[in-house]
Amino acid sequence: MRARRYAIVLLATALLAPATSFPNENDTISIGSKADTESRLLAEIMAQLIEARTGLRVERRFGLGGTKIAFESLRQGEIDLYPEYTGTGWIVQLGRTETVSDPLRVYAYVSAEFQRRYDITWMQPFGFSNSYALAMEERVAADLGVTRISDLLPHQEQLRAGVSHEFLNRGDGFPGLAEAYGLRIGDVRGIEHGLSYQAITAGQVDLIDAYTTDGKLAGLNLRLLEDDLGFFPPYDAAAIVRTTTLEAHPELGPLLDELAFRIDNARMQSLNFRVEERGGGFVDVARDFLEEEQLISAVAAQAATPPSRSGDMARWVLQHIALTLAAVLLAVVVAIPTGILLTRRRALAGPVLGVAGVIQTIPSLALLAFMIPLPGFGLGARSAIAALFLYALLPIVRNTYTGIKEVDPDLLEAATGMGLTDSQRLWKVELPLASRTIMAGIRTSTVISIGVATLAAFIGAGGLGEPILTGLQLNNMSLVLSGAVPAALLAIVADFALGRLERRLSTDRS
Amino acid sequence: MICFKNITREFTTPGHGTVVAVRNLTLTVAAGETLCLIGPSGCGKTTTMKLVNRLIEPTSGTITVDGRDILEQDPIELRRRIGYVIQSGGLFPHMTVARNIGLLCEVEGWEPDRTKRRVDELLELVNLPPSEFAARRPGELSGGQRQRVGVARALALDPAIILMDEPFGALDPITRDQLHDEFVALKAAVRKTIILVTHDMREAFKLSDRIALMDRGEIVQIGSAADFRARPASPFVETFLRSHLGGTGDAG
Repeated sequence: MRARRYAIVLLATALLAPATSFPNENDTISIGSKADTESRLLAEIMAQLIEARTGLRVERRFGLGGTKIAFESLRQGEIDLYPEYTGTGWIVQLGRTETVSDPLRVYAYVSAEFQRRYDITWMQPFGFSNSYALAMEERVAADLGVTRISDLLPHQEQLRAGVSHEFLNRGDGFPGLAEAYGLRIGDVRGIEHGLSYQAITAGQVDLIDAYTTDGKLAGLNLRLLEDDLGFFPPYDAAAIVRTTTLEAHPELGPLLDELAFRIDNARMQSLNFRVEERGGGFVDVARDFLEEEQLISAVAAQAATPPSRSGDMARWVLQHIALTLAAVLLAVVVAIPTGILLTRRRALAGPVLGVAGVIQTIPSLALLAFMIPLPGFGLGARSAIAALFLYALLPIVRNTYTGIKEVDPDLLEAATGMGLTDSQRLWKVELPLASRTIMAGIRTSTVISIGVATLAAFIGAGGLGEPILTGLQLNNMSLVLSGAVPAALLAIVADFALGRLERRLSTDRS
Repeated sequence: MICFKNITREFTTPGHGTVVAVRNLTLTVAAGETLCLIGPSGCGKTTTMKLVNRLIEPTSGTITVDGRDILEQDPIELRRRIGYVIQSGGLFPHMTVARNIGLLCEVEGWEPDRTKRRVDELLELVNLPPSEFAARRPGELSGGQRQRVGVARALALDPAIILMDEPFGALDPITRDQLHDEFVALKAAVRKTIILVTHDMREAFKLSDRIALMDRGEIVQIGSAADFRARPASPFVETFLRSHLGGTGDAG
């Protein structure tokens, strides 16, 4: 029993060891970003700047799935820095609820509090604020003479607004805005944000909500209205960095501050536009920006350009298979003995299957996020494998338990009566007769894992989720398909192969 | 020789209280004898048989086999010295006929050659040519063939005692008659002590040396077929015989 337990630990270690990375090695800076275009672009700009101007190696862990994951990764030291917004720090990390319109006050507060509570430093702002705004078509705004939100008041009865559902319902969105300005728009409806730009250019609505640095604005003739009462909280972007990293690399702080106030709203908008609408790559747009600002020389930029994307597909597929395989193998090693144990201690079956069932109901992304703060997990393959492993448990435990429980009791009595020991009965009778059902559980777990593994990219574990995630952000359908199609094929192949194996087991018993 | 001495077995089930399955039973089965346990459902005949290989243990009393208390023996070793045949054979569907029969030889660590010789010998004994049947699976056999394999499996380690739990119960009448004849011939050939549970009085008359008729956990009469016919011990026995033999009394 003890030997077997050691074997499990050894196997787990062997599987996980190669996946471990060491982002805080002395000469490596690990840069994270959230999943949106703007965050990735800012992260890429900082990455190239550091590569070109220091001797440090940069590890890119872009596309992390949301504020919580990015921030937890930073706190755990999985990454050293990522771009964040002051308004997000104010509301999300620090939990402040009151709106403050003074950008300096918000910046001063979050930078002091982050330093005190988390040992994290806010670098100087990049110079733009990605806030909510109201937008009108330039021609309509000119006709009505509207440049500020207050200017809407005389026309409010006949205006039609189409705003995103989130904006319509958030306290710091439309309801608060209407109250602050005493605004009563005649016709307000919630529409999908992606469609609102089409709606306003088609003249179906007069007013939409927008992000002030949205790349789509640059291609359209829209006027952003000035928030003259300062209702919207400031969302000034800046890099946030682990203070220990800044201390270990004194050259880093001053270098990052060279980016301070280089990017105003219009500049950020046009950079986003170049990536999203013109299909420019992050790498090229970031390099062009740094060259234009003379922050790096063209020669250095060439040298700093990371390797091309050829061979990426093979890497994604292999990572995907490795994640799934490691998780399912671990699950088999744990779940089959657990299932067997449950048939011996049936009182445990309800509670254990219940817990495994509850794990399955946790949304995949949330489960991935839970793993990051756990000691020894963090960003990357380990957490992804752990989460996939947890998902894979239930079908295997349940099918092992059911498969053995459903073995004909007469056969068990024959086995016992003829003088087989408990373990001989298990290995020679129960497991072979339950093997088909157990195999069906493994098959279910494998197919689920292949699907969920596409989310591993959110925590920087790679796999076929990487092109899917990037493609979604860039609205690049062919990139999305280049991840989704192989993932689907993998699932189909695994399902087919394991299904064959399952049927072989079943013909053996007929 | 198997001796039951003052055996009582009670079952307690929540909600149903305590049921006495076997009540103060004393019984001796001689070496080489075939004893049939018979009686209505719930009379305790199957419980009595399963006490011998410790599938069920007594609440009180002792059972000895060849003078040794079975409760003081290792149950696994005990069972390997006692063949066990259940209704429709109880064959393992994922194993071939040969592996079913040779399973105990396999777990006893016999050389494969020796196991194969033994399996072939046993298949011949139960009239199933090895070349034709050894490689089949139980699903490819008729009911009678499965039952023969079940008997062959019970004989694998050449045990002195065989327990048979309604072995012919699930067969059609023609096959059953044929297996009865084979059983009688086999019994003469192998000389085992056999305890056979049945609910069929004709079968009991035909196959056994002695019959123990049970009712509500107790033996109401024990004796040969001739004893039963000549001297039924009670109105219950008479009624039981009449209902099972159709009053003709000419079986066996």
